Amino acid sequence: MPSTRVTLNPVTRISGFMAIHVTIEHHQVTAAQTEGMLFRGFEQMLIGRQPWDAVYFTQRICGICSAAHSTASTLALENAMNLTPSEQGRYLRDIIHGCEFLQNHIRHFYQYTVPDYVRMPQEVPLFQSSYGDFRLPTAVNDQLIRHYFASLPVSRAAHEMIAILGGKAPHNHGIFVGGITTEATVDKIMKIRSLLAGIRLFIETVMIADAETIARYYPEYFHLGRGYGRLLSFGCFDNYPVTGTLYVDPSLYRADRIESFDPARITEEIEHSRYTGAPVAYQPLESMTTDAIDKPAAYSWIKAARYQGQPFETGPLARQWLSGAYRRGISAMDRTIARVREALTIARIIENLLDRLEPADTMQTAYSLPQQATGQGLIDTTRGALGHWLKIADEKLSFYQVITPSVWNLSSQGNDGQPGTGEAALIGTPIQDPTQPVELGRIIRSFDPCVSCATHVFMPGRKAPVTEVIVP
Amino acid sequence: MDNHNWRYPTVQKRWERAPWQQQQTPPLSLTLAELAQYNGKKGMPAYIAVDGVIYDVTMEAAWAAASHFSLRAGQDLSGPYRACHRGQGILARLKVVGQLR
Amino acid sequence: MTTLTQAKPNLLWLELTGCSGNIISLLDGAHPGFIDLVTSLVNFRYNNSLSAGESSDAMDQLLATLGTDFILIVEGAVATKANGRYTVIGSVQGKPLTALEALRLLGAQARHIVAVGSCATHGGMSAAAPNPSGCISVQQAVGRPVIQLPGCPCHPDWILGTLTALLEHGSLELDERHRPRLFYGNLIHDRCPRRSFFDQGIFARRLGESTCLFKLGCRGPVTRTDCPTRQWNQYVNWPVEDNTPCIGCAQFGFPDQMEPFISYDIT
Ligand code: HEM
Ligand code: SF4
Repeated sequence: MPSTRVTLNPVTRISGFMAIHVTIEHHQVTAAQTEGMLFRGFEQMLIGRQPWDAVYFTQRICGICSAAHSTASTLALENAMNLTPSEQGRYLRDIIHGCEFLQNHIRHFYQYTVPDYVRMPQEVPLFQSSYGDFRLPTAVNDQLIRHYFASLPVSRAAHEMIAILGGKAPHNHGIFVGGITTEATVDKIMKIRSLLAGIRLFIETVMIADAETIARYYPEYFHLGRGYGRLLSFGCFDNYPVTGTLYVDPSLYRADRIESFDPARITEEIEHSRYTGAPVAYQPLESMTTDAIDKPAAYSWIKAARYQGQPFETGPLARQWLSGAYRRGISAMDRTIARVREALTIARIIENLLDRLEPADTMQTAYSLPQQATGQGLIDTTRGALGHWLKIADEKLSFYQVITPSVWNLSSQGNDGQPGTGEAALIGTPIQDPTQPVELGRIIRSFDPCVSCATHVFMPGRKAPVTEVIVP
Repeated sequence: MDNHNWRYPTVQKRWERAPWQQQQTPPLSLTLAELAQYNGKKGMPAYIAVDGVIYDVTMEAAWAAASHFSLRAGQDLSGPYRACHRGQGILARLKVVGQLR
Repeated sequence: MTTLTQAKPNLLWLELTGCSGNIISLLDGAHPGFIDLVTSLVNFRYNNSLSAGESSDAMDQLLATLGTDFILIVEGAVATKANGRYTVIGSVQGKPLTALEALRLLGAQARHIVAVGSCATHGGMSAAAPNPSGCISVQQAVGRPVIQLPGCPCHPDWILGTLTALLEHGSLELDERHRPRLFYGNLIHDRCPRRSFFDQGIFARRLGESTCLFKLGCRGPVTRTDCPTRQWNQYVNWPVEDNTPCIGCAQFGFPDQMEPFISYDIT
């Protein structure tokens, strides 16, 4: 039987380094592995550090979604300290976090996704590609190129909003235990409102239309890259004591049903990944693993995050689905559509939160630490469900665990041999031309993978991945 | 200017002129174990020792949070000082509070 | 879009062991910004976050630059553990290309090497104890002097200002640690708008106060950048103005030697 093994390495236009390895038989993917290719080991680094420092330290896990990590570590610290931030504090923190959604979604759509479907100007070496399946008529193609560049000031403005409340971006200083570190004075708020109005206009009139244009010319992507069709969210912009939920509650979707979510059912499985030091399946607060490069039966460096033993998809599509905002389908194109629509959802939520702000004094106090404590911080961020788990002993961090959205979306096989979500999305995909497998990158990018984020669990490369197509 | 650490040695901060700063206290004589209590936390001033002399770095800008390049106050730091600041004359600007015993 | 001329040098932007936050920071620069980079300043050939081509297309751009006149910008530290296999940035003829190999290959030939961000300049966050992936700085890995632009992340103006100086004048004034004096000449503490509070001994006891953040652990007195005067993200703000201490992200030794970042119990 003719069988082709294809490797894409690197999958560019993602954050961090990743390779895709697939087997293609009769123009169809029959096996797939996703491989992360860098490792830094944040969890090991955090042991023994000052608990407060985790907020700024863990941001450095990711350059494109750093506010996500400061939010999750802040939540974990507050949980450990038994501290509930004020409602106003949560609004302000969530405004900063929301601005990151805008920045990330706009950049992911224009800088990372558009070049999959739009032929970029070939006179710029950065934009050259030897293959592609570009179907847009010239005038439409040119317009999307103009929007690629027109989006730059818009995503920049989203980061400017973060800086107004958070000092700078990436790696803001504003999100912290108790809320944020600055007062939402009227001059700041008016600036943010004005910037937000421009961003919202762009999303409504340009970005959503551009995504729909792409969808029109590439309709088969509504049928590709489905995966398991199981969706998960830890919730975000939710459960404000006064305001209630503005976006999505912690919840999940499987077998045509929406269910409530129970954090105690999260496990990580390592039977098929190169780790030891923990039972093959453990809860996040139980164990930290160490690398075991030659562990038998392990084929990947990516652990497998599971809910009741099942792989799940997480991210904008999951949230739009669970909140009822968008339920057209689950596919590569639906992910992209959901992402741009979510940008509008978030812009509206930020407007709503801005309207609820009241002038207030600083929400900060001189905190003291518990001698012994554990905490968890679960929140949905741009890419999906993010969890930080920590333990404090003698006023120092004694344990830290991070499970990022990409560990759900790009996980390895579980202990039962079931492929991870991204792998499942690739398996079964028809490939027009195995020497130009454009489908693979498009499907994987629809998840907005972030290998930088997953690096604390990813480990170094397998022996010798291949770039060229091998036809045995 | 080559040495950007150069400053007028005589500039006095307003807090240095405050009455509580000017109180004449007799020079301290501390063992290493006693020095360890002067870690700059919870009301204790931040002292360090270099070559037997004890200096007060409580108000030293470069010693925020009683720490400096992962060194902590309350210790004899002669070795690290020489490793990074030999010949820079920084110690002459610090306030001497006593001697190591 | 202006046409590109051959006279412009090529530019490669390598992301190595790090968070890829410096290329994001570059996108936050406005005038000049990314658009000037691709349309007028240089022939921008490769960057993992932005290259349109994937897999061998991207790798070919990287390798075809060898033997030409090019400037190499590097963000991220260089993982050395297991012969560098802790960071693989792509593959060449079926073999993984580690960050270490790519840097040595390209670093030997580049007209200038610019290390952007604290991971690249001195290991930074990626080399934080116990340095699980054995990260070293770009300069250590290539064994030749590089222009150092520390910061976590680096400010877009520091990057593009340095690049423009190199393009227009061939060099720029560096200090003894290879940082451009233009951006890294003064201590933050010396230009800080809260300096008068420091001199009067008026110190914040919690985050969120608008006085001097010294007692909370401010590293402005040992960190050289122009943050207080330039500020960030369209020049709107910076960490001290956000009522939080400077954490010394642009000081050699960040993060380990700049900790603790925040303390509450200081006398
Ligand atoms: C007893 C030990 C030490 C003392 C008392 C001390 C004191 C000081 C003081 C007072 C300054 C401010 C200089 C000024 O404003 O002119 C300073 C700056 C500095 N110290 Fe130390 N220091 C000590 C140890 C160290 C060590 C071990 C290192 C190396 C890791 C170090 C690295 C630096 C650096 C790099 C600066 C200057 C930052 C800059 O201007 O760019 N110090 N130190
Ligand atoms: S806030 Fe920091 S940099 Fe500013 S005066 Fe105080 S110690 Fe110096």
